[in-house]
Amino acid sequence: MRISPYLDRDCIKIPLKKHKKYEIIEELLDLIIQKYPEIDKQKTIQSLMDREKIETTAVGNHVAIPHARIKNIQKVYLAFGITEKSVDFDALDEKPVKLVFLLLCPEKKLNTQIGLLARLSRFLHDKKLRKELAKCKNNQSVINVFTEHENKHFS
Amino acid sequence: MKLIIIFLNKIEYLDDLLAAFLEIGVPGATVLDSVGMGHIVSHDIPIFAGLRDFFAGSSPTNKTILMVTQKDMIPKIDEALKDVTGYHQKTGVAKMISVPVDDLFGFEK
Repeated sequence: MRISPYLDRDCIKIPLKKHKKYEIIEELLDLIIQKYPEIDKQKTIQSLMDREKIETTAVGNHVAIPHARIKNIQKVYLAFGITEKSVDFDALDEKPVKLVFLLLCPEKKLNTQIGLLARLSRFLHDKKLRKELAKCKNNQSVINVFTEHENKHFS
Repeated sequence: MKLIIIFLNKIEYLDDLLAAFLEIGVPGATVLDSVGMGHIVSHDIPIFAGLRDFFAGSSPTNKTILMVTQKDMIPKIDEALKDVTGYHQKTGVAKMISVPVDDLFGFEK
C-alpha cells in the first residue's frame, strides 16, 4: 500500500503554527476541512480525542499519527505537518514530536485504516526517511520524498 | 500420518478436551500457550490501540495443541472437539487443521 497517493499538497503544512498537541491536531484537521468542508469538524475532533484517550498516537522517534475512523465520510483523508518547535505529544519514548500525520478513514474501511497505519508506522521507522521529511521546506518536497522512498521500496 | 493443529481460544475447555482425547485413544499431544495476533497488535503496539474493539474476539491467551496421528483418527478428534467445545456451531471457540507429515523421527514405533 502506497502513502503518496493519499498525500495532498493542500493538506500539508510546513511549519505548523501551533505548539500544543491538541492544537496541532486541530490545525491539521483544519487543512483538510478547508479543502473538504463537508467534514463535520466537531464530530471529527471528538473522534480524534477519543482515540488519543485510549493510548498515545505518538509512535516514537519524533513521529505522531493521530487518526480516527469517521462516520459519513467516503474516502481517506491524510494531512501532514512539521512542527516549528519540538512538541510534547505524550510519546511513549518521551521524545518530542516533529512530524505529524493526521489520518481520517471511513468507518467502514477498517482494512484501509489498518493498512495505512501499518505502512506509515513501518516506513517511519526508517531514520533516513524521517530525516529527509524533517528537512522538507515545501509541500511538494514532502510528496517527492515519499514517492522516491516508495519507488525504492516497491521496485 | 497427519499433524493436527488445534487453536483453542476458549481455554476453559482444555481439561475436558484432553480427557476426551485420552478416551478416543490419542496417546499424547503438545499444548502450547499462545496469543492471538489481534490481541498483541491492539494491546502491545500503541498505534493500533484504536482497534481494540475490532480485535475484541482475539484471545489474550489461547492454547495451541499439536498432535501427530493416523489419518483415520481425524474424524474422531473432530467429534471429540465438537462434543467438548461445540466449535462447529460457534465462532471464536476453536479451529482445527491437519497437514501431511512426510517423515517421523524420535517417535515410538
